[in-house]
Amino acid sequence: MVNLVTSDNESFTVEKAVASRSVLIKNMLEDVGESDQPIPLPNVTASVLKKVLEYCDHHKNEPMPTSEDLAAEDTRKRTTDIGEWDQKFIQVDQEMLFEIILAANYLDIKPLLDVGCKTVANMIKGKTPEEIRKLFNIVNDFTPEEEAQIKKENEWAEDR
Amino acid sequence: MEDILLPAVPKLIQSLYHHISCKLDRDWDGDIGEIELDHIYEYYRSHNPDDANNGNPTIQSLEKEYEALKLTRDLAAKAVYSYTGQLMSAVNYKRSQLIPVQRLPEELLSIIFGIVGSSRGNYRFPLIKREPLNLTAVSRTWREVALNTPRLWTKIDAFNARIAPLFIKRSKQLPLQIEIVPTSFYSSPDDVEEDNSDDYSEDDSDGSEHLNLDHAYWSQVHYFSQFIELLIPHRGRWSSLTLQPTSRRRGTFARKLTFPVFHLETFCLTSPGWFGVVDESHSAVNLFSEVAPRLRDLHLAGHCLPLSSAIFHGLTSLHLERIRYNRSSVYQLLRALNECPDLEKLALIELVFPPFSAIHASSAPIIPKPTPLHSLQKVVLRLPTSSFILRSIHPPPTVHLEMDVGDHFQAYFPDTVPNASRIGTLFVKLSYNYAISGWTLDGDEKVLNLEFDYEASRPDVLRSPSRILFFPCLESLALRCLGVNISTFAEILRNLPTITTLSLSEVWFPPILASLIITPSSHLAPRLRTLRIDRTPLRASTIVKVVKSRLSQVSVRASESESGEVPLDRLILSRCYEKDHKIVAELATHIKIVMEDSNEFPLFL
Repeated sequence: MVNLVTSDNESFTVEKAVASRSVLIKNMLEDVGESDQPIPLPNVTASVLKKVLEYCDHHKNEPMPTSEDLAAEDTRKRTTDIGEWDQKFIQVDQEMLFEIILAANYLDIKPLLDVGCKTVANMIKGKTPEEIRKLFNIVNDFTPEEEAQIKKENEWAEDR
Repeated sequence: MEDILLPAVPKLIQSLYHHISCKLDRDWDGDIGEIELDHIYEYYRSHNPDDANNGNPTIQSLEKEYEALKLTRDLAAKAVYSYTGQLMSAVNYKRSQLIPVQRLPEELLSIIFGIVGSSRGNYRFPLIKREPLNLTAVSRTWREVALNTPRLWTKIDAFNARIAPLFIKRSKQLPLQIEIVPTSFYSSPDDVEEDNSDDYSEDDSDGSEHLNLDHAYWSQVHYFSQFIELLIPHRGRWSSLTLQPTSRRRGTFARKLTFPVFHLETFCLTSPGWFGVVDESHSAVNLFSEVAPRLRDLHLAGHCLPLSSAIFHGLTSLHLERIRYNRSSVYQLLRALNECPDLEKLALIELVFPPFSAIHASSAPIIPKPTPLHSLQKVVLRLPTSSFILRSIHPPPTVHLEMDVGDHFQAYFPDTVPNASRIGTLFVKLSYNYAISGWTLDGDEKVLNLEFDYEASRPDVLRSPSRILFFPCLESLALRCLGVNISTFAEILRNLPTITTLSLSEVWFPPILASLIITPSSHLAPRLRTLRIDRTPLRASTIVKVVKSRLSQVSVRASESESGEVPLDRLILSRCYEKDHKIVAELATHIKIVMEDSNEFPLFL
């Protein structure tokens, strides 16, 4: 078993197979060897780690993606398909969604990062800038000059 | 609010007016030192074109003062708008940094943009709703990330062709994917399934966006020469080129492409199916000067290249469709395949070759030594010489094969079709000729799909294929419009002892059902569990005998000999006539009856 301690000082004891879905933790365990020492995760809060561990537990028996898999994923046309379980798992509010992505990035859990990024990509796909702003509560921070430049640049696209 | 603004306005305007007046005066004195004064001078002149009050200096002076005030007002408004705009932008920028999405670092945002940009469904959206342009117009941060994600800008298609230079510049030195295709290219069922882009159709309620996209395509088709010439200097970056001309001048496209392409990996040149078959005499003989060393995926439909071209070397995917060869022979095709030892996908559809008698003395084909194609994953053969080609290549047993055998299978059918012995479903239909389809499933996936069009002079359906192919694993047999007599039907069943599901539709000679009655001397289709009868007049005595015999006799025989025979447990009756309901009532006491009212012919039971 592995003991993980979050930024808000909460402790999680999990199977090694679950924790090792994170390449960061896996490498730490390999470096440290057999030890009861808790592993600090200063960039992850308890509520986020709980979700991340739920994902890791569900996928613990799946093979880890190889570097060839990752390279192939980069070169071929990517789909934005997400598995059924993963889709339900990632149905969280925006704040949690982005926290999961950040945690997956920090903990180096590529498949989870992929699920998170694809989810955001699906939210963006096919939307106008105004619709995207509304979706993520982004404000238009362009200066009038920048706005004019963008308008000019996209002039042809406006007609289509 | 006015209390705050009004006292400040006179000071602002007076100060600005003073500066502008001084500059104007200097201008009239001929002291034009600054470029902006040109502008002011032009402005003044444009408002006094006739210089009508030349004779009255007071009026002239007042008019000058008036124009200076007007100019002051305009410039002040513009300056205030610009200055406050920058202040507001800075405030909004600060606010933007506090929202959840902004917590994503730029490299992650870039990954997300990359996913959206490279997903195929993206290209079905109108440009304004598409990545990357829409991403550059969301906020300053997003714009910066989008501009610094070169792979967002690598796709140049008919819809963004006019701003192709922008894409070329922003994609840095990354390989380019170029497409000139109509919207229909993006709407294959696979795409819809893959990308799940239902949101597009929601927006497209009046179809106007489709019209706009088609307009974009047509405008680029007409200006193809200019478009491609713009991209030719960057041909070293071309990684894929997909063209679908839909005009009769389809040869123009290929004839423009006469230069070597050293990095091109995918080339797809297709014309719509309604253009029909193209003749080899219309081929583009000098495509890429035959120099495309990295080409791996070649797709030609309704366009032709001579099969001797070096373009065919080293491919991993080859699709040739709707071509009539009159110079190249089918043997040249085999030689081309021989140059592609790593071929993974092969599709040969509606290809016509000169007859064998035109090549050698014999009208029968001379089968060459089979070309080993160990990497083949999928083969689609829909041409008269399908059987010949299949005998001339050697695919691995794992290959997924889709094959239309035509009516020559008796003469040319290969001895071993991969996975033929695992055919689980056969579907036989009589229209003007017999159409026979058979397939093998591996999980949910078809690994073999065979189609025969059998022009029999007499209805010995299935007898001939059975002589060549064995069906030791056949479970489902569906027969439609079957016009055979009892003995032929019995022979069919005798050759197919493993069937568990039998569907008979529109049987012309209903007494053949008697073949299914189990007697001490006859027990055909011993494993039959499901029998479906559709649009066939039921003869009460026959069907009742069939059911009863397959319940009682089988159970007796099974207990005696353990022969593996199983009782019938489901009878499906589709579109029965009213009078048949009496039979149904009687049969229901013996067996599960399912009543259907469907026009669909069951492919899977």
